[in-house]
Amino acid sequence: MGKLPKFTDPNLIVGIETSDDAAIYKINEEVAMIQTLDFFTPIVDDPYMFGAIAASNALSDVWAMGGEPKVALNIVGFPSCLDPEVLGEILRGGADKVKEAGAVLIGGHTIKNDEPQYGLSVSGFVHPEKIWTNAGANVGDVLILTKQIGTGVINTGMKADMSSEKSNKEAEIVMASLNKKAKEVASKYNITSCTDITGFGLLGHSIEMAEGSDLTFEIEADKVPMISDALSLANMGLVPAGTYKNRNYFSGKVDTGKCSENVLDVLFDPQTSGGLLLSLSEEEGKNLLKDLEQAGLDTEFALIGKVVDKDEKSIRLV
Amino acid sequence: MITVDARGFECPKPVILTKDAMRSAKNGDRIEVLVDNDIAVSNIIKYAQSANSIAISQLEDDGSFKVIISVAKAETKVEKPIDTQVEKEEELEVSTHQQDKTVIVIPCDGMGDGNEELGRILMKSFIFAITNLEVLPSTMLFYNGGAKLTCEGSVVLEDLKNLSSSGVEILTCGTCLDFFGLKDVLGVGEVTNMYSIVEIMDNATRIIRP
Repeated sequence: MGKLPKFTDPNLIVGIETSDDAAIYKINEEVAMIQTLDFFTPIVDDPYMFGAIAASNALSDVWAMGGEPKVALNIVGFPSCLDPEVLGEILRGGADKVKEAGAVLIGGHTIKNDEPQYGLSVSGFVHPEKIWTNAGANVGDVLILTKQIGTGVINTGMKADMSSEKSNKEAEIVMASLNKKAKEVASKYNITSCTDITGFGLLGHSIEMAEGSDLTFEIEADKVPMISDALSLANMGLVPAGTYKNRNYFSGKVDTGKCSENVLDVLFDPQTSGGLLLSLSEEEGKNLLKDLEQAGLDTEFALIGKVVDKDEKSIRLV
Repeated sequence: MITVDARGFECPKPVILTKDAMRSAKNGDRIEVLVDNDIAVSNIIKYAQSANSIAISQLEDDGSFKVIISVAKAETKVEKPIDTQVEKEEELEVSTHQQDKTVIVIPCDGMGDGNEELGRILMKSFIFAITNLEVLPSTMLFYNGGAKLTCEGSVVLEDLKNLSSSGVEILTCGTCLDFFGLKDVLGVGEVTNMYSIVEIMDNATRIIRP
């Protein structure tokens, strides 16, 4: 990657340096464009559900930065040996989510590929002054998470046929739910920082936010909403490779307290289409929780901790 | 000794192969699982420990790993209740695959007749004791006076929240919540109706009523 040419432009507000998933380009004083792209191979058997999950995942970055997705294009890889009806279902799942997002889907590109792949390229807009970065949390802020975690463990359990129908279903709902509603509700408040929880897991992304704000996050492990069975499956060794990578990479930055192994595994579990992690003042946080309750999210949300003075470690688990 | 060659596989396959081998093994058997990545080593050790067996790993000359498991198994549930982890795992499979459904019904906020205050004390320890069960019930139904227990201010709310987060379905009769004016303060689980209550009782493999 280091050999690639560097691009600079005075209007590029968020580029590759901050390791954000989306780029933001300022068009004028009122409008900036958010550009993002994500695609992957099937994680569930049902093609419609796979399409819906991949689309929700790709759209999420736009909301995580405080914007609204507007235009989406399909990115598709599909093997010639599979029934084209399967492809139709994947695209239908994706299109339904783009519609729900309030954006428009205007075609895309399909190539022949040994394995199916699906995702979206998404453009959205945000006011340049209202971008949610992962770097503005203040001491005393509370941390609110808008989806339960554990999709990586459940997907591994699903592959092993060791997870229950109930938790499989719950994981599908978590992964296919858009972060749209949570973002719209949160927009009424002064969000000091935000990120969406994906591959680095809850703790990995929390570390990025804590470091970006140069503070420490105190997270109450037992307040973190988790998909049912996630802990017991982690205890039985149905832990994906990504969890170990995250733990190895980030463990020096976490004071794990008395957290047990399986809880840590789930806290580091890589998420597909995870929820938003938001920081805001305690007072506003209370109201946001009430509003989220009223909004009727399909996922669990919770206040999971608070922002404290900078400590030796970026995260303190209590 | 049983040897399982799980080289060339990524998780969860090595865990599945280990699970199958452990299932057919007897108490005291030794299983050696060969794997070629350290993630599989960690996951197999976790699996073995969750089944109350001892597991260690060693690095082989060719860079692969060998996980050695000493299988601990309860001969029967009655004789060796101490091996609860093995039973737990088996029970878990029963509950997920064969749908063993134990339902606990709570029709009032106290336990037994005689003295109301004593009844409430007994109910508190009854619900606490449920949280300590090796195998949790699949559903708990609360109706009439029992509906008060799932609402804010209830002394057993924390225990019920713990049960709920452990996967126990907590359901409270909606008519009852309306009757007591408690609908806005339900603190745990979901609201249900009489059709569901009847259906759940009908599908239960056993019903426990304190």
